Amino acid sequence: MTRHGALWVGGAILLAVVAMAGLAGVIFPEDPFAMIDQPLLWPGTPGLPLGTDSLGRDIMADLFHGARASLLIGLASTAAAVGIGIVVGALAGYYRGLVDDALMRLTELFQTIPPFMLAIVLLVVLGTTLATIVTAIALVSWPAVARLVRSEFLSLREREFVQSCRVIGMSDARIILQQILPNALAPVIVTATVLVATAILMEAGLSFLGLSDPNVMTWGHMINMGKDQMRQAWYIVVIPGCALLVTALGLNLFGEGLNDALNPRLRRQ
Amino acid sequence: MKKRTKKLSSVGSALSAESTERAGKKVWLLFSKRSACFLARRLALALLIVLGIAVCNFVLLHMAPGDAADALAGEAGAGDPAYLAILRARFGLDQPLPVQLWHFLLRLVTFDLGYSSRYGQSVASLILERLPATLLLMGTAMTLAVIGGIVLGVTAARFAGRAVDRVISLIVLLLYGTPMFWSGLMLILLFSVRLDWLPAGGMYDMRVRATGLAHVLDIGQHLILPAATQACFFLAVYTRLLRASMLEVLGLDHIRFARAKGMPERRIAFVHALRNALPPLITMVGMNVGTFLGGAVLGETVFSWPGIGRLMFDAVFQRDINLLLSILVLSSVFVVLANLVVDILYVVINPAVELR
Repeated sequence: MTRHGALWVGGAILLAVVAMAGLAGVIFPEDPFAMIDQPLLWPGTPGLPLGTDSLGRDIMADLFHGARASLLIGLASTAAAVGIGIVVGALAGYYRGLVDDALMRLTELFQTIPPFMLAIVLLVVLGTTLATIVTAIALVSWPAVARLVRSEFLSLREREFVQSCRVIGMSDARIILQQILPNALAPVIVTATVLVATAILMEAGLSFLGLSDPNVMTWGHMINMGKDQMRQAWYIVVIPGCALLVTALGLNLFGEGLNDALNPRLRRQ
Repeated sequence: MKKRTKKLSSVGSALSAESTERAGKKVWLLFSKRSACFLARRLALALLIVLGIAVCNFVLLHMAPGDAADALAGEAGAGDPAYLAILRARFGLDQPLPVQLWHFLLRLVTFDLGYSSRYGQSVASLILERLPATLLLMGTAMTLAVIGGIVLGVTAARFAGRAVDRVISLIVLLLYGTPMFWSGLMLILLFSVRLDWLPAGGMYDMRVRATGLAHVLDIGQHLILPAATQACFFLAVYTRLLRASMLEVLGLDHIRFARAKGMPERRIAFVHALRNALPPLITMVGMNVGTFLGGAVLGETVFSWPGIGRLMFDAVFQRDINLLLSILVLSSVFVVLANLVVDILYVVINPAVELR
């Protein structure tokens, strides 16, 4: 697959998932938790292309609504993580010294608890709603962004264009926001795409353990519900898993393609 | 720690003899005065971090709604306030929070992890009982992943851009995007539900109670699926990482020299290039070993593997704060130790790196 191919294939997959999420409320306006037919109907049953689960819910509808939850949680938590990471990393890398030390110790503290464990504990403390799940995932994912932004700032702050800004008396805030940040964004964007994939997989893992918002249909929850019927009805587990796999694959491909497009220097490999 | 890497000036076969000798010296140096200082400082810092984590976790967990008394009383079906008060007094939950924190830290320092409210057993004995299972799973999965990652990563780098490389890249992409718990379920579906070759969960057969060699074989059989599940994900990460770092090393002078000497390609790749390409892999493996306990929650749940991850998950739902806190502190100790081992391994593998 050529490098541009990765970007296109990844983009197409993402577009499809976004379409699923956007159309979920239009095609399946009814409650995804509602029982609509007999339980455990196999895919291909007339009117039910993907069948029903053990509680007689339409798997197709659940899949569409799950796309919405996955994308929402993935994007929102990544946006929050990138926000925190940029603030912490920029301050640490730009001011160095004591600020850097303090912020990096904080980052290390967060990195010393296994992320998935920390997310579980946070959800136990905060309770499981859509907002707390986003918060928990954001709180365990920002350290990577902070480190990346910091290293970019450390090298960029010594460059001549930044020094000349300082000479003409530009304020720190303007140098950070207008001069350095735009130059540091490319790798952050690439990392963010991969983070969305990680966040979606983490959310799926959490809902598989039962830590999901009880009012929101997610792919992880579908897998959790189906795992006890694997002997008779394996499709309940296979379908949402494939959706997760394809979505994560699309995001990773997109990130890889973006990386090559944004860093032409690396293209020789 | 800062690393200072000297550019390797001499090349060829003399280099490997020299570097082995230097590596030997460096290993010995680990016990010298200067490195003793380094180790002491790192250990002190590590201790501080673990202490910080312990306090943070303590405060965090006590903000959680409901405590062990609620959970126990809920299970017994009794919401009687007097009973709850007795339970709280027994676990020390009636004391003010700072006092509880102080007691917790005192116990931690003396390695007395307290009593699990749920299992009615000391936390230390519970953890020691479950730890071997997790370590066995981790050791097997990591070994598989590292060996597989090295073979696939080096092969992909040697044939970069060719068909083999593309097939490997595709496999890596697929494994990388698969949620670990789901691939575990799929392996169960295939190998135990459909084919009935391997057990679907647990660590040994409860019905047979085998002993001796049969017992070992029994555990091995139960180990295959969970270990393969965890290994697959890490395998993808390592292959990807090693391919990139091998590609960089393969362009260096000493490789060109070895090639000019007529050394076989496979030997160049696995002996001369691999050694220089290893540091990023070591860092990553160290990180993954450190955070393995976290990921183990999912893997052990899927396969009902009786390890620490499963124990932690039960502790969460039973509000067994003592047990949960101990596991959290234990897992940060894991992370800190893994980081330290990585730093030391750097010196062993690359004599040009200095401990500071």
